[in-house]
Amino acid sequence: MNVDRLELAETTPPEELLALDEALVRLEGFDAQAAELINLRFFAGFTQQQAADLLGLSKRTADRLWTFARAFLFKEIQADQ
Amino acid sequence: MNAEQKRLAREILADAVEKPDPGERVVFIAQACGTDSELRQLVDALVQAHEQAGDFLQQTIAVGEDNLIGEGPGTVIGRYKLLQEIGEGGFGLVFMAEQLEPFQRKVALKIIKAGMDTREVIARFEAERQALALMDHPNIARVLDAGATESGRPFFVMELVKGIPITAYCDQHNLSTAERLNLFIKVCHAVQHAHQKGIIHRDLKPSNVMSCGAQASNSGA
Repeated sequence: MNVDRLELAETTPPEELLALDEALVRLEGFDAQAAELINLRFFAGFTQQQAADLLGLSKRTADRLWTFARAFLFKEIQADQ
Repeated sequence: MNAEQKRLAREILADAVEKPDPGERVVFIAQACGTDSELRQLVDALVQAHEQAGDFLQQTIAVGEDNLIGEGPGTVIGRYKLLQEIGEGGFGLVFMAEQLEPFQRKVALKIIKAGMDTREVIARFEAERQALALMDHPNIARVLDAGATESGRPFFVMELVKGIPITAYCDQHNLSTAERLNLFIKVCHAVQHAHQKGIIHRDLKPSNVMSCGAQASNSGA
């Protein structure tokens, strides 16, 4: 049994995912479409172009929304710590 | 903060970060926000977050279109031929597969979905495989093999539990409350076994607890 391997796998801190989840809830309250974009790209694994198509946005608009969503989440997660 | 302020915050941020010169950026933000101090405060915080964010959320996104072509029935991975998809989770797919050598048998093969193979997901996937490998209980699906596809995505192979979700099983067989509880006690014993090994399942639900007559088997950690 390789215990080291298990330790390594656990380096994904669940608190981080939890913090992201909480920040996402706040983003949803602020701007639902931005949260949707994060969900599509981060969790569902769509490319930016695919996510833009699904949301009915131009790629450029989606890029700008992504910039905002990412900054918002980062700000919220930092504020939590 | 009203909808118009929110919209402005988004737009000002996106415009501001496109200006490479910090001085120009500050002037632009000041002009764009005017006298709205609430808006200014938010924009400043967002710009600062943008600058500090580094590769936050970015490594997950590097999905090439090519990677999205995933495995499906008929695909051969190592010595396993995929037959049909029998389960799907957030990050993984479970296939019924046929082991081709050294002997033929049906197994369950779990693989990370195409395009989802980020560092984080792979680490979690490996942890699940490792956790399952530690289990030695008749009611917990055993890990038989593990490996990686040609494109480097990890997979693992479990014994195939031919059953149906425990709730469906109970209903189909019109089990009495006492019989249901007896079945549930078996589930509890399997979970206790995992807990004694220091493993917490964190996703126990009827579709993860398969029942086939005498046994209840529990897969996925």
